[in-house]
Amino acid sequence: MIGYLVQRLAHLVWVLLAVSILVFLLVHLSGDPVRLLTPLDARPEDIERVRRLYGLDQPLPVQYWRFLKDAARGELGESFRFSRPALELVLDRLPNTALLALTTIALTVGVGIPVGLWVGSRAGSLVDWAVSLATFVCISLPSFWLGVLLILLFADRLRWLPASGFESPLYLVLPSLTLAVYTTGLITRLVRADVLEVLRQDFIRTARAKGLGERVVRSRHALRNALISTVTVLGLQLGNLLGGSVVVEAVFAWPGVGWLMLQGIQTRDLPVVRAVVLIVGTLFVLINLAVDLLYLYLDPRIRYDHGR
Amino acid sequence: MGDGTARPRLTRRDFLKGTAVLAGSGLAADALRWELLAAPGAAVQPVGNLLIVQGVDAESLDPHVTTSGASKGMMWAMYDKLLERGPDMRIIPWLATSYRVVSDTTWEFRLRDDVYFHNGEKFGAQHVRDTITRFKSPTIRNVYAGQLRPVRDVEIVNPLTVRIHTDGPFALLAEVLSIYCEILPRAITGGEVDPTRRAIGTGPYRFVEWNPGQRMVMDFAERPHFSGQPRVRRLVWRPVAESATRVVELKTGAAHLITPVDPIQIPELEATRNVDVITFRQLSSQIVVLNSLKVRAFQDARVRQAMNYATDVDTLIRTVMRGAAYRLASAFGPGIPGYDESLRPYPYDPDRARQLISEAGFPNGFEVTLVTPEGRYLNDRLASEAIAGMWSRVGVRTRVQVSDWSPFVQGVLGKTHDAFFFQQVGVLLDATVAINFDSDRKGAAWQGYHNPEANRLIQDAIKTMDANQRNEMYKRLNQIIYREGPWVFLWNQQGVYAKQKRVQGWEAHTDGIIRLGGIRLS
Repeated sequence: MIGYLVQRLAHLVWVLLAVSILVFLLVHLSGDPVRLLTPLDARPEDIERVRRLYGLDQPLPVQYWRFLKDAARGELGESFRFSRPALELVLDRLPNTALLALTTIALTVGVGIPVGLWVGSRAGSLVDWAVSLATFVCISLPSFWLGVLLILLFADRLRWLPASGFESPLYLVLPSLTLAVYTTGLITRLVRADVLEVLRQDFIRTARAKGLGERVVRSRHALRNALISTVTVLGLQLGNLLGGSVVVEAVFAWPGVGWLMLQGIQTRDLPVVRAVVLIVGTLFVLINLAVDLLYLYLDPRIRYDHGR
Repeated sequence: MGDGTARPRLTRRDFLKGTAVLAGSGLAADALRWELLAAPGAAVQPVGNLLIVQGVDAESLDPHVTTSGASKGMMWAMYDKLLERGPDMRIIPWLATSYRVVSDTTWEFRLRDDVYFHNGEKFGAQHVRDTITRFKSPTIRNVYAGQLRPVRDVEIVNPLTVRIHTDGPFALLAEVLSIYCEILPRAITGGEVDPTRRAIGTGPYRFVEWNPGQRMVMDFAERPHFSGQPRVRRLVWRPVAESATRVVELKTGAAHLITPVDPIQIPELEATRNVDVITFRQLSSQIVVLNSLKVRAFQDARVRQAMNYATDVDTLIRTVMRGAAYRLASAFGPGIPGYDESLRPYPYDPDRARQLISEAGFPNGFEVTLVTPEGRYLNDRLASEAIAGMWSRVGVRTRVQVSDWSPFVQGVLGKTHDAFFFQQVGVLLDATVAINFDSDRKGAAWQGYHNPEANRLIQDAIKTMDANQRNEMYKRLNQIIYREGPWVFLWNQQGVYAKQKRVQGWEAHTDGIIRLGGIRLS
């Protein structure tokens, strides 16, 4: 088990190295960052001076080597745009993004799993049909449109909730709702399909035959087995959400990493792009690891240390 | 303030009226009267939180590093420059009460005696000297350092007078100092305080906190500002990227002043009871640049004129822009030196266009790719597609290529686009004409246009100390550009602000940068 963990964490280093090289190349291939950072009417000597100040006059391998050396010391450079350490900018925003992501996942789990379970055991009924339609709508709604619609309704018309920014928990409601609509639709459908599948299995018949109540059969036997794929998808969704939802962050002016990343890409703010990718990449890998460990709990048949 | 003593109070407007009379060369000195407002009793206490929502946040807290209009507005609430601009872009006295040209290479600035930085330092000549030295310093990421490159030395004549010596005649010094070079305290120029963490200026508001991407907070400075005491206690600036959200923030009272406003939302805002919409004609020119390095036909002035005749700008403004634009006759609109009101826009005349193209030796027309960014300028793609249709009708078979901003800019710099939808012309005209029209310098946005007289005018204007004479030269240049059409002249975009009715005492500036002036909440 410990060997497995060490192996996975070592794997993380390779993933991050590969990602950092990729980011480096892609951002450089897409145009000269200095010319995007400087206005057209900047004088050539100023442009060259700024290029030197940013260290962008060096050959790419040299730049990458410097980046690696700094990164090993925990420094990810200073944002070109904000003249602040890129790591600090990302870490400032990460809690906001994490809060939004976790709230969204909580809403998703709180609504999606019970509803999925409920309709899964009533397949073919009117309720099942209605929920299926609703979830279909949920996953089809563009979040940009939904976000603006929610703002118009709850902030503009009803004046119940604030439209944008983040000052108190109230500000969390609309953006997390916007994000949760999609993930809840997705999870509900997934749980429903898995429950439907599991309920046909022999061990469920056995459980029922032993005289267990329907409640226990569903919540202990059916749900637990249906959760494997749900947990996988939730993990991936959480990873995506931690990368920041650019659209929702833009609509609600949510101070998260997604918008920071997009602006970083648009202005070729290399240190910020690198910092976001590395940190979000690390989180993504760690979440996947956590999901894999969760499988152990959900399904005791799964083991990671065979041969030992 | 707040000390209960009866003392005459100056509002910003009165200040401008008074100081403008001091005018040296070029300072506004019109029908402005000196008029003191005697406010008996206690001074007016600044009240309320003013919430300003813009599309983007400041790029930095260091005023010499910021470039966008949105950041400059924030910086100028805390920092002052030697000179400022009025709403019509005319230069007005600010930290300098007056200036004069001593010789071709020497300017003298007299400084205010009643100004203190927020950390208590008294403003004086040494600060001007140290700030200009820092502005030019190669270690600061200041992309505009070159604007003061001709400055050789700042001589301190006495604590309230400086003489700026330049290498050769540098006619634009006053213009540059009214846009760039916010004056810093010794705490910053001496390196004690990091200006990216803490702002210390002489402005009407002092820095409280900045959380990049979220909010910048400023409180009124206890010592009354020379332009008039602030009437608002606290300023909160927030970036909100989405236009629809900004509008809701304004309607619900979570913002008092918002910019930019999408013209589509103007009717909705005008129908809102407590909201005012403020529109103004922006300075920058929306144009299509014709690249004669890439398209041989564009080397002939007749073809370039034909492109202007072939573009039905009035219809574009009416339909694509929904009226939210002002027709340009030539390269520069009003408010820019060299603007010539006698020039008439090219009429829409497709027959004349066809004839000119034929005369130039292209009876069967030619092919062009019109490159446009999407979402960078208002309705950029839509307008480009309409223009392509109009051009195709006169035999210039035009394909529209929508480009991401980064490759778009690379194409402009690499001069590889046939033609592109673009915005140019800023307050500092010399920079614009130099990068666009000077075939000796072949600047960033220059696309093959060549006229020796234009080159000479551009190069001489910057050395011409007399403002009127310089203006005449730019006028002459504008006439040449008009006649030879290296650009297809389209429009000045409409700038739009929206504010709550209770926000008063505020005026929009045509450069689109917020200057708070006497802004207050009623």
